Amino acid sequence: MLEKQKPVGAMIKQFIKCRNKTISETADAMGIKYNTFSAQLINDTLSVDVLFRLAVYLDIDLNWMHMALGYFGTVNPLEKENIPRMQKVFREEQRKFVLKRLDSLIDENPNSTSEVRRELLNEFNMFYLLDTLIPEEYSILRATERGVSKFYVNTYESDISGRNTLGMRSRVVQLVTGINALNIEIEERKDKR
Amino acid sequence: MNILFCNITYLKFYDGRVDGELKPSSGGRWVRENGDAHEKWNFLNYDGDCYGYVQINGEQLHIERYDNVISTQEEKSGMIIVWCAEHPVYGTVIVGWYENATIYRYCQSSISTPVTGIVRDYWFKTKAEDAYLLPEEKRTFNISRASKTGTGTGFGRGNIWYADSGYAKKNIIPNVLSFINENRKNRINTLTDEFKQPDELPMLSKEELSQYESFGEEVNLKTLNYAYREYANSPGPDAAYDVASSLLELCQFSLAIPWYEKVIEMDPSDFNTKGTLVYLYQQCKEYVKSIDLAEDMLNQADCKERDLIDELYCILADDYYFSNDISKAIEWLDRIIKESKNEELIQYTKDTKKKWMLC
Repeated sequence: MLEKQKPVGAMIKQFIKCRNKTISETADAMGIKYNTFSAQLINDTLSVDVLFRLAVYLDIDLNWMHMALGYFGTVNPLEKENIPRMQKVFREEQRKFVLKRLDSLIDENPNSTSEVRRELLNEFNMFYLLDTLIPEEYSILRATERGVSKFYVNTYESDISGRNTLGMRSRVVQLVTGINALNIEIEERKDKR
Repeated sequence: MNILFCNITYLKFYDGRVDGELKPSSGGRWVRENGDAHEKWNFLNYDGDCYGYVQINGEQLHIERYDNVISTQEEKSGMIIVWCAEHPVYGTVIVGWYENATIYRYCQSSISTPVTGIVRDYWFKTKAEDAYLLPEEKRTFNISRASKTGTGTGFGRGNIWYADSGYAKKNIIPNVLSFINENRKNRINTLTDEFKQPDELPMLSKEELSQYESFGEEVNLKTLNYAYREYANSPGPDAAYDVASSLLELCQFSLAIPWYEKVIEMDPSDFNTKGTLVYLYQQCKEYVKSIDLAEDMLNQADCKERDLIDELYCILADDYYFSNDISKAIEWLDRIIKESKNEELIQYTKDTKKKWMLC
């Protein structure tokens, strides 16, 4: 079962901006009239062919792109799915963009981390925010629960097979929920300003 | 006197929350290395208990210093653990304490499964009802540093103080015990009853429903209350699931189990919820139930879902191992070795089998 989380067109517009391109330039590159392309972005009617070509034009890993656009498949009920992180260069660009927005939201809501987080999630999807903001060395995991994707950040993993008292699944994880991970990043950002 | 003073990083809530919590002085908000973060969960109500951690020099707590404890003894109950932390302005103050706590000679690790997500290292354990965390304005009792006030009057260079000097027994401990008696009523940590279904379950108003929806994935006592009320007025598997997953995220595994069972009862096709429940049973040491459910899931699994089947075999092996049925546990390891296509898992299983055969 596929689930879609946020409007595709809005996310594609961000990707275009992060690559320092305009919609007009991108439409040209796709061989589509500007008005048509703009309407497709607004109405979420981009074709598969255009999405593939956009991935090449914007140099975005397709595997990552479908995650960032909110297209998820089913997950093994017992193991959380490890999600590929975006390319470092791309993250740096995306991060600047998201941090700028984060800073504005912090200015508007200086005393409420939860309000900042809610506004961020209204504009971006959870996976995209986590992938952009959280440290590169951590992994993002996804679980599907009652048809809804939930994201987690794994901050620490080690094989502790040296401990006889633990069983087969002695691979240790330290999971932080997506919500808490965003809270951490917001608080850290507040500290740095 | 069965009392131990521990010095930890200064925080407000010590329950792992980020929103509204101070940044630990001993490290960042992310868990980056062992010993960096465990004490920030010292007052987390973890399935009805609190687990306490303090960074020490050395590998054991010398519990033989207490009366009636022999040198080979590994734990002692009936302890008072006094938690202290250095406030940037007021110095080292008592931030809370445990009563009726068990102290362990060696650092323990909590059982952890993929659904629970936190591995807790701890030296002390007590019921949540016996843990007392004070609000900041009540943290008024200073504990000295021996370097300033003299040997036996406070913490030395380490983070623990046995307070067994003549001076401490006469001048400090009685005052600490008075302080404890006066301040029990001021605690702010969450007790287990607060997670249980309330007696009154009025329908959610329009405003409350809208607020509930705006919370999204966020889970706290308020959203839990809303989830209980939503289920009471509109019972169904999704509403039951909201209660179950809220309790799980609030680390109330025993309370969550009956709600997950309710979801499956109402929607037997919900395979993902079964996946959560099979681990929860294991987490709560209900191994027979975990085994039954894992076997049920095996019967339903498509033989092409090799990863899922491997995982279920691992769960079954663990369930039997934790129940001390080693021979049965090894049977399941043998099935993994024979049937799995995952070379890394096969090798790992062979190594585990060697260890378990020594048990």
